[in-house]
Amino acid sequence: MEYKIAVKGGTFEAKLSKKITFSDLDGFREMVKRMVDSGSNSHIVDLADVEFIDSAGLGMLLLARDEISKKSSSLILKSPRGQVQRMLHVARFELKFDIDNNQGPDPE
Amino acid sequence: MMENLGIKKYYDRLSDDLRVAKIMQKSLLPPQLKIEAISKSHKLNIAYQCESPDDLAGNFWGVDVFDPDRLFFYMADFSGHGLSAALNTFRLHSIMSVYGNDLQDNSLSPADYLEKLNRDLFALLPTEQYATMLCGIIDLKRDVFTFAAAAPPAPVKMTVGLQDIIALDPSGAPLGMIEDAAYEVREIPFKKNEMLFFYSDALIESQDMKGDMIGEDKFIDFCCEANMAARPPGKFLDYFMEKFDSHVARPLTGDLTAITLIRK
Repeated sequence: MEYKIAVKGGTFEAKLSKKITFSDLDGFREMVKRMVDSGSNSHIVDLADVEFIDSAGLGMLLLARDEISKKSSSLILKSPRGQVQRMLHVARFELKFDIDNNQGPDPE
Repeated sequence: MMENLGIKKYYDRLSDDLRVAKIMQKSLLPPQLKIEAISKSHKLNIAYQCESPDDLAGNFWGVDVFDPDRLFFYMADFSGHGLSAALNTFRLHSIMSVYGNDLQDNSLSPADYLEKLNRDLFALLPTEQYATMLCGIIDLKRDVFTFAAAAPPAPVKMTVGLQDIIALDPSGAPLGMIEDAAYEVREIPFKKNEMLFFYSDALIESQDMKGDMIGEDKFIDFCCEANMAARPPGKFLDYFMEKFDSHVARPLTGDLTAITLIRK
């Protein structure tokens, strides 16, 4: 997993790419810490460029949601595609997360 | 020197503990004698393969006799790897035994059963830990499989010797994720000469020799090829695993469980 961060007007956006799997746990925790430490009111995890997520990766998204909700701020999962979108649907993540299914521009 | 002896003693003890834990975990799985007895009593061919890259696995499965016409099948897989996932298998197995009788006497449907398990696990598990699960009742009299799902890899149904393949709907909140999650009862025909194939995500997510994931398309191809080639039909899993093993790079990155149930 790789990620890029942009903070604009109180919104913290992390754009993730490649795969989110068990081996990314440390990197993901570091990203969540940066999100929480930023003090932003709203957070977006952009999944448009994530090609694959496994069950451990879903657990990491839950972890992010919990940490951010402790600060009473919001988290949106943005533009999941393909396998990631299917995994979120199968696991009923729409019951736990705000998911923005706007697909945005096609990936390069 | 004393320090080295201390470390050696520590690792020896750890090794012993792991050996005992592995035996305990194996006891969660149905013994071969039970599988053979069910095969005769309920005319169901059961084949399975389990493999873990770690000392302990985070998944288990089982099949229980409810009565001469009904069997209960289940398969569960915890997120993550190693010791924490393995310990959670014991937790879930214990909780399952609390509600088993209610399922057997029809007081609970498979969906009600998952709701109970989910609520209990939610109270026990930290946020990032959860289990996927599928459980259902095979009714030989009615020729149906009635099940509920909590986000496992989609099981498939095939007719022995044919190319047809149907994926079962696996959607449902993983156990332990949402406190008051509700589940659906789903029912499919399950007749003689039909096969149900349940598996862990390692069959889809393992990497081939080039580092690419096996993926769903190749998995379906393996299923169809093995189903056409398997003689007798009970050898399906052997053929499937031969295909899988010839493509996949070892060691695996996740726990592998594959189970076929074929009605005779």
